[in-house]
Amino acid sequence: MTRREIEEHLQSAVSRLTPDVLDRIDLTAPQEIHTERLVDKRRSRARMWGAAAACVLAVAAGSGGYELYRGSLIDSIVGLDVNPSVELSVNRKEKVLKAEALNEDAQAVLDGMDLKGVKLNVAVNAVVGAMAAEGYLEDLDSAILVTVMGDSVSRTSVLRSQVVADVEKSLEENQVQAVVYDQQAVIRDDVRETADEYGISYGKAYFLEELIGQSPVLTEEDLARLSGMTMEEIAKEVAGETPQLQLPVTEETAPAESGGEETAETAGEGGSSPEEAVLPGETPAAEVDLNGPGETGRNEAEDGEEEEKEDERVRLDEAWYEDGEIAVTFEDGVRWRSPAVSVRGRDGEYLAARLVETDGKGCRIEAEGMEPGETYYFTVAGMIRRGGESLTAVSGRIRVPEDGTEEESRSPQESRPEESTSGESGAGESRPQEEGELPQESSEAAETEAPEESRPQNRPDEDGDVPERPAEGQSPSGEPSGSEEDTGNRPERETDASVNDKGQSGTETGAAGDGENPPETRPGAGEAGEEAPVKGIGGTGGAGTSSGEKTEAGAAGESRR
Amino acid sequence: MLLFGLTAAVGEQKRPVSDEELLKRVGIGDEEAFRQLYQNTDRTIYSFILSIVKNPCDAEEVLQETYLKIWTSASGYVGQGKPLAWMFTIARNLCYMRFRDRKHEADVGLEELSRGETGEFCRQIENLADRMALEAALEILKEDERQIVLLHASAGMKHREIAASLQMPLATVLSKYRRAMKKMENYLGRE
Repeated sequence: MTRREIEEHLQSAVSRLTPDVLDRIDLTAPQEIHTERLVDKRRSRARMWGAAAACVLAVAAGSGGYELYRGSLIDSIVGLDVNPSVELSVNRKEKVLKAEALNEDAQAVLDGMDLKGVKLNVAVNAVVGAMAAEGYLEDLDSAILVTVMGDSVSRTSVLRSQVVADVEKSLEENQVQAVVYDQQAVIRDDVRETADEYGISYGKAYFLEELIGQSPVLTEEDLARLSGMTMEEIAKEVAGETPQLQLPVTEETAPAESGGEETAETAGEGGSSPEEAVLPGETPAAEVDLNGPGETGRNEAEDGEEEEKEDERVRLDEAWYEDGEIAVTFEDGVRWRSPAVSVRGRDGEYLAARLVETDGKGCRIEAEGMEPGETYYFTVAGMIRRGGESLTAVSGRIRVPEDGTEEESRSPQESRPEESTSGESGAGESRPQEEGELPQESSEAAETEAPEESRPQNRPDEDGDVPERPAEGQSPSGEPSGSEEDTGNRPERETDASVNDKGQSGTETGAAGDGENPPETRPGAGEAGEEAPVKGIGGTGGAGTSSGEKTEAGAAGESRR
Repeated sequence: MLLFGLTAAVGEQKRPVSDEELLKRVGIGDEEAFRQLYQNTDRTIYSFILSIVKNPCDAEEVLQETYLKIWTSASGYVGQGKPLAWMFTIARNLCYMRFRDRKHEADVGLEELSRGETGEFCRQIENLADRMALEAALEILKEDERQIVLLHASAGMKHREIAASLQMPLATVLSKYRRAMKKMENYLGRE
């Protein structure tokens, strides 16, 4: 059987075998309940989901027992824990009735402060300020736990939000950073015991008990250890224990960094790509543009260093056609920075192409308009070889099999007679390429050869039904570039607009007429992101004009979409 | 524990609801979402299970157990955009548990357990070519190759989806697939 047939038969076989057991599933079976982890999003900075989740539990009505603080006027208690532990008892009017230091550090903090009768928000401000002054909030990862307890759940809840807001404000005013955890607690005997036993505040004890209850790794035995830790330390430990909770990690510096990085990258891209010299057929003009934006950030890429570049090339391992896509694997591991791709046919017409998948060892390119029996050249760019520093690109070529069978051979059949129309030169190559050949920068004509991809292309797994290209969203294919190739449209990438900053608008390609040098790509653009959808390709496949000599491929394919 | 009047919504949506979304709804007791999820994924999960247990009778039972477990433990799914990977894990565990049980009962090696029952199908595949292809796949391929081949060929998953769900690098999936198909072609002869 041919591969295609095998696949069809497998599909048919399994399809017939697949039983429908839906009705046999008893949906009255009880579902496990996993408590919804509400995360307190107050802090836009670091969110430690594990700990925060524990904290933010909204606890049911303060039933039972609030008798601890019998008496009186105490309506709520607010606890603040960093390392120092402070408890403020307030009355219904939110005036502090009592301020307690629950450990030594707290005593230093409260020293000299008389908070009786003071409004809660003022008191909180004062306490946080004193903690800051004493240096307890110096670390970037400082953490402060706010606990509120009270008779009325709703009122306590309101109070909680208020106190947190007050704390945050105070942090800002004092110019310190800290993650704020908050919880609304109820009185529990076991917690009270823990607090007493370890000499910690009720709030902290409550927090730890909750944490242990929810953590798969922490147990009561850890209590002794945890109770002696500062909130910051506890938070860190929790973060370490719960990797699966996707801790996004401190975002504090993120904006700054990412901004910086991006510019660096983009700049770098611009800077290094041309140098890569990997791109065949680059026109000088393009290079100039690319250099334009300058490499501000990306100093590493010291572009211009040929040697570096050499070492940092990524070698193509295999490339083949499969199911409407080009599958590419590299010999070297890579990291993707600004993935970009271009695909063109032998006649120099660019197809609408985008990267639908990228990973450390390869990628998949979806290109519209690939016809059976035709050869296409692709260039992918915007990756850095592992261990390397500069952005690089790889080119290669694939052939779409005529009938959908895999062609293992080194494609002797490649030699398609029709050679591209314009200049292309020879595609004739069909040269079995050796693996790992480096893309060359051929210039015009030459390029066709250039990309060798190791192994002959395509292995179509599915029938090479090229025509059904899933025209996905982008690629407005079909917009015939109107006119001869004006380079104008061959943006492999995204819209010229965005690309322009890198100078590259894909168009550069030599333009000249058809095809002649279809520069393989211009990587560079950075659209960050993985899938650099190549949209906006005007030039797309073939369309176009390129006049007459289009090979069937050209003609056929087109439009599509 | 049905709560939240979260309607099945499938009908209301203008666009199909993703499996991820469905799974989350299942987690809160949405039966309709569960049914929809089943429809969306049964062939895939069955292919996966079949690739491990290698015989349709067992596969059918494990399929049922799998979906039941999906129902009961969906609330534990932490949405990471890979619902299938999560479902596969459940299925895989159930398969292995079954092997373990069998092994204890019969004291037979795992390999032998799974081999050898391919000939008897709970359901008959009438089409000879179909049957040949499937038997070939189950006989001559290694487990990972079987998985990839069945998921791609019969469940129609794209290689990248397979890579994500099986947590393998894409390139590995691609090369294993090719290698496996070559083996199949050789075995089944080219006609």
